[in-house]
Amino acid sequence: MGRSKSELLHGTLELLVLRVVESEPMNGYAIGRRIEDLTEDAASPLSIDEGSLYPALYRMERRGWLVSSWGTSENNRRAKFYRITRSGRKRLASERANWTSFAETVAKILESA
Amino acid sequence: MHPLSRFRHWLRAKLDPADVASEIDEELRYHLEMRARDYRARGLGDIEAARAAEQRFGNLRAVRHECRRLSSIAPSYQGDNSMHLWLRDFRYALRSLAKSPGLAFVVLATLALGVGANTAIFSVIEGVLLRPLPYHEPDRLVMLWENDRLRGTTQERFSGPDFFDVRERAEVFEEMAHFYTPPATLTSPSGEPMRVNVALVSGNFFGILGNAPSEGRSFYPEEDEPGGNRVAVLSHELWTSRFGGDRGVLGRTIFIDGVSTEVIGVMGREFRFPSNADLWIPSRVTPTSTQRGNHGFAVVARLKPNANLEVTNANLEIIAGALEAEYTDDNQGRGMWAQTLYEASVGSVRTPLLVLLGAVVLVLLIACVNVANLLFARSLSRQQETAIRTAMGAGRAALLRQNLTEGLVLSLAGGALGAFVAYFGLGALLALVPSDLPRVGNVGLNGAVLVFALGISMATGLVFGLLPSLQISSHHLIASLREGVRAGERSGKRRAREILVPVEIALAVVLVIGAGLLMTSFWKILQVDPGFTPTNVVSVDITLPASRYEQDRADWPKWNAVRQFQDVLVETLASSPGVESAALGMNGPLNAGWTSRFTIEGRPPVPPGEQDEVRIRVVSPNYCRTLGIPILRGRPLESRDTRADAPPVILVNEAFARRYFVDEEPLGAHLTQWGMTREIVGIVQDVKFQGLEADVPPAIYPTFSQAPFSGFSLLVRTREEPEAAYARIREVVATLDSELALSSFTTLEAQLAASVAGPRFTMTLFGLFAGIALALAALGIYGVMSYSVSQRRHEIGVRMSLGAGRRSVMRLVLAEGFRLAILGVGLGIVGAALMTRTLESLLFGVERLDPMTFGSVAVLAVTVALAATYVPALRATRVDPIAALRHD
Repeated sequence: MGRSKSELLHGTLELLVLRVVESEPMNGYAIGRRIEDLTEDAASPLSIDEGSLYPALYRMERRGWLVSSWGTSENNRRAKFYRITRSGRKRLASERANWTSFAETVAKILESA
Repeated sequence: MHPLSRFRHWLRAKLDPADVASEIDEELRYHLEMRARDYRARGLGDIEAARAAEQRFGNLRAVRHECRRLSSIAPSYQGDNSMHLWLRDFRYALRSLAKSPGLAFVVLATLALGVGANTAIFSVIEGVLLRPLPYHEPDRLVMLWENDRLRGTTQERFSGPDFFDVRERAEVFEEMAHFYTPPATLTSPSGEPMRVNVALVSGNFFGILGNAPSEGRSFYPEEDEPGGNRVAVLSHELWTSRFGGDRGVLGRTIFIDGVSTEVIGVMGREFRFPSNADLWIPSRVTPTSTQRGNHGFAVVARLKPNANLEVTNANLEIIAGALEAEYTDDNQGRGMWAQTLYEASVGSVRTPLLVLLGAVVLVLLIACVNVANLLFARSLSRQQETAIRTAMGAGRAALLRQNLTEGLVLSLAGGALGAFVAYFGLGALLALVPSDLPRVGNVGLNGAVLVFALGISMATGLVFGLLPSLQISSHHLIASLREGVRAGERSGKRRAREILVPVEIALAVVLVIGAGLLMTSFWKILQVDPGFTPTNVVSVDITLPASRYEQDRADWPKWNAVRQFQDVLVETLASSPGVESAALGMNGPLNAGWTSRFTIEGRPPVPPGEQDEVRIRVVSPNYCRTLGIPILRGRPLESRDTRADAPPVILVNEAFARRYFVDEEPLGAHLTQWGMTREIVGIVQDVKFQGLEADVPPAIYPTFSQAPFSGFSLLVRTREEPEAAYARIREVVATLDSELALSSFTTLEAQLAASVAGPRFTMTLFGLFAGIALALAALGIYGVMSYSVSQRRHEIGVRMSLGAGRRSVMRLVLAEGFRLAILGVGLGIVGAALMTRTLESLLFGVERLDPMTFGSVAVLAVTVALAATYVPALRATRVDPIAALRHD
């Protein structure tokens, strides 16, 4: 893995997945790419590890945050699409709030030290 | 995702793992191809791009495996793990049942029978006993009765004046109503004349019960006063059968015994009180319109909200005491008492119905024991599996839960089948039910009954779900694993199973003894000589309406029109072809009839209040000949007694002669009754007119010509089939009076059969349940002994190789069965001795501890047990010692 990457904090992957499928259903590959693309310009772009992405998707489906169905991708190939559910949205909202407050807390500690 | 679609996903993964795996592969392949495409876009060659994509993905196999694992485990329900566990247990239960379909079939059939029989009987109990009476606040409704200490009667109807006095004086009643139900002839422009039961009621009758007509209106107060309009409310039954359910009947005029009456209302279908009423008409009884000595009124009353039966009876006692003092002639010795309307309606059938419920519950218990036994046997053969699961960390709780789930799956499936059995069983049951069973129209498989079926199914599931679990506790895990395939029974478990067999036999013995006692009773009832010969006699009821047949009380007994019609009717019929003999009776020979006071001439005078009452049975001269009632002494009534100037004569029965003429000659003595002194000219044999089970009270037989009655039964001894005889009677009556209503066409044999319908019903069902119980017990013994033999193959093999002959092997097995049977029969006899107490009131001519019945049932049960043991014993003798020994 050539580029320098940030390690994902535990549990953050799910938050990111929910965020990118929030607006439209996406297939697994596109989800990974989108997360990477969104952070391309950041100081430390993220790289999504397939070994964690797919198990995460299956786990999230099992928990009822995502549903999947087979459809056609933009290049006319059969692909499995993931769509966010209502409980997925709830989860996203609460995780997002958690994350923000966590980040603020950490930032505060760092500044005060 | 919706739980259901989540479940569907998971189910699909379960049902078709290959499909799910290929989907995972396809998804991951897509990912790799897309990645490779990106690489190609950056200038890599096809092969390098593919390789780079795979490299970037990392451990493809591990990811694929993880994805498969995630989609194959059941959906997780956060915070609710038990659902998931339950589903797993359910799945496991289905799988293990599917592995032994024979066992599952036997268990389900047994349960379906047990639950079905219970549900059918319970539906009768629910409709007849448990359902509240269909009136407003039925708990506050009571029936009032009088009794007579001097004559020893306990339940007599009220006299009119007594009714009005109690109504005025009692403090416990909100309101009281009276009624009586004489037969009458209904004629209307549409259709044939018809005999109906008219409930003549006080105007407040419907108000007290709290029921209003479903069509039209109830009575206005002035309609219950002398001179008011004659109006009638129809029963739903009469309305639909006679008037086709037409609302246009309201306001129409019908004729009751020739009196024009306006129809003003129709009661709802539910309302049947009194149960035989076809229509209700205000009786217009006033405090002075009837005699205090004439007890003809049934009384229903509504208690004040704070009153109860005890207070009511105390109140009635005081009033009855006061009336006794005020009216010494009529009321001496008279008491009054109340019983709830519920008790009055269904009190007489409660015992037999509850006894049947008890019997069918015992059947279900036996079914449960059988099923538990079967599951026990299986759990033993599964003992290794259990041991392995325990060793793998399945806790006691998990195993218990598994057993329970299996029990519930079986019992609920059995219960569902049982509901079908109940549906068909109930049809057969209702065909058997005696026609006089009250409220039988309520009986059906309704919600309450199905809840009951569900409840007993769950209960049985718990019972035999838990029974095998008891064994887990006494389970020595290591020993089981070490014992390997030949997981033989050790003494502890064997004892547990062997206790179930005697218990089962004992329950069956209790039932069979009960059935035996009931059958003996029924047989004894049928052996009773009714006192007449019922074969080939048909009976029809006729009432002559007062409008066309003069019957003024003041003129009695000179009712010429009535007498003339009756004489001509009997003469014409007697000379018709096919008729052997014809006669009239105030009642048929199986109807208890009325009573009246009487005095014997030449005896010391008795004050009117203390005179004895005797059964009055008014008959025509040919009565005894037609019914085959022997004249023991003297002469029968003859046609010369019907002449206008004939001296009054009377016949008495044996019971009368025994009671009142101990040392004197009855023939030629005179007795006075209904204001006429009559000479006793003959003594007839006792007829069981109060039913075959009851003693015959003293009775007297005056003739119609000397004691006319407008309502009577026509009795015809015929040489034809009943239907032909009915047609002939119709034809003859129509030539005499075409507007006369005929009703209750029946044969005396049918009447006799109907009079024992109650005991027959109880006996048949009880016998059926006892038969099922015995069969189930035999099946249970067979199962246990077969299993025992198969477990002891090795031992038997050893014995045989040591020289034991087939006979001694057979004896070994039979002896074990015999031991269990004797133990069970002993327990059963003790149980029956205790339980038959509940049967006592249903028995006739047999003691509840009848040694014959107990003895023969004991022999029968042991025989059946040995027969059930015989097949396994035979199998034991066919054990090949070599094979049995090598098998280990």
